[in-house]
Amino acid sequence: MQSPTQTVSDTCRAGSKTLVKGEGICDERTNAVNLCEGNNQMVAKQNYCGTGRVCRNQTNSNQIKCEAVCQLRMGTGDIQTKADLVALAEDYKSHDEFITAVDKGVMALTKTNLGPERLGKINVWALLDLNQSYFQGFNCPTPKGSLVACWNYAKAAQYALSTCGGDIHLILNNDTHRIGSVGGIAIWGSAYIYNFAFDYPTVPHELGHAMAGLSDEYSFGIAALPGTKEGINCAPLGSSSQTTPCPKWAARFPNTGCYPRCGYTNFFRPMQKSIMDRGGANASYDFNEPSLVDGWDEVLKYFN
Amino acid sequence: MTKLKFILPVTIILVIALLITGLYLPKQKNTPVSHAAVRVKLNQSEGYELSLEALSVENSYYSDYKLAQPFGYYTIKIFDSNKKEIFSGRAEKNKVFFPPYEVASPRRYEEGASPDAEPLDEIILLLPFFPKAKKLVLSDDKNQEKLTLDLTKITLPKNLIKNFCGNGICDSNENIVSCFKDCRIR
Repeated sequence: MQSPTQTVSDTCRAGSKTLVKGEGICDERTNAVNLCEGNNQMVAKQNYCGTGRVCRNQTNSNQIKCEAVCQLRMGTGDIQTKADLVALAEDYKSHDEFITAVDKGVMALTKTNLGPERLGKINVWALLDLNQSYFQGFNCPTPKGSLVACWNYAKAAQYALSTCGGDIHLILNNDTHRIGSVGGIAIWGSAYIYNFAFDYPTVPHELGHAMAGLSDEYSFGIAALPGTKEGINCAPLGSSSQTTPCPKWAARFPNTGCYPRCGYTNFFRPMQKSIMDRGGANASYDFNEPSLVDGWDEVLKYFN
Repeated sequence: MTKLKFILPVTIILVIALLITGLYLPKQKNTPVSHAAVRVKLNQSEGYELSLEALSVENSYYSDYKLAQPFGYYTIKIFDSNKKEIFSGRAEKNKVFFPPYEVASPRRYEEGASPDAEPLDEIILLLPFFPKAKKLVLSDDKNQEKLTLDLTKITLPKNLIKNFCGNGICDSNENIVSCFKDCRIR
């Protein structure tokens, strides 16, 4: 707003806004700033905030805010000793919108039984770049079938690592490439998660795959073929009853059970409910004991 | 009293000397260059044979490659000219797919459920740059050497940006005094 002491030579008109010299408008998608230089002159400044920083608009001011490209959302930020998980944005319109999504993911992680010790070994970063695209298409072929949606894993991995030191990454898609009720998809080291699914345990479930290497426990509706590996959290042999541990866990996890179906109908799971089981409104947020110990603890053992 | 006058300064000098030699110098010897990474681009065949496509140094963060790899990995080791190991880590060698997570009822999977793996056709590593590094060795999970690379010919780019203060990460060349923005306790 032009104050009585400001002259026209100090201001610029930008749509309905009147900007004072030094104020500007940030295009958060391209990280370019249109800066008012007075006399109604708006000058485009690429990379206005400098290396490693991005511009952000403010709600109650036209002053451009410069912020770090790597925003710490969980952890201490010590990249030398922690596992660094980087969230990448796809099709978000503003940094605020993207950071809200990342924070929902962090909230879901803290809602699990991973606990402060395991979560204390992880930094979660939001990489503020709204100008990247990773999605490649639907129904991409894999060795034994197809994947409902695929993304450029190599591009995402390199970008997350080179910019924020990410050992692992999540791509958050603002629901532009949704397919049915799929909330997230994972490959080892990478997960692709849809915005609508942040109110479910989608982030920790997908990290269970991408980071801890866990298998799904919900039913695939088919039996495993001979020679199929059962994975960390499933057992190939059952026990005498559901409350007796499967032989695989009897010695190390005596408090587990042995419930039929663990992905494949002829495998067994250690607990009735688990976050690696089906999703939806009543989904569990808890990992079972073998998943915590043989999955998460194992993968994080070299971090402090 | 006279004794104390002598002992106190000597003790202070000794402590400082110990701090310098014990903490600072060893770090200097084998500390990677901040914000420089050795980029190794490898091609991998279906039979897990590795070949080098490109080797360079770039302005970038690197991974510590400390995540355990449950689905097959290569051990990465960097040695200096005295054959001393100065870095060790693990990199995945397979692309492992998992079925999608559905927030409604999961669909029936007719074939190829979880997990489904194939060799990565391209492996890109971003490793720490040690000025004294001599060679990089990649071995498989049976400890068989798969590839050895000479690191003596790669040099730091002349235009390497060293000042990343403000990017949100407290780098090894930054501290709370030199870059409060990134290194404040959070």
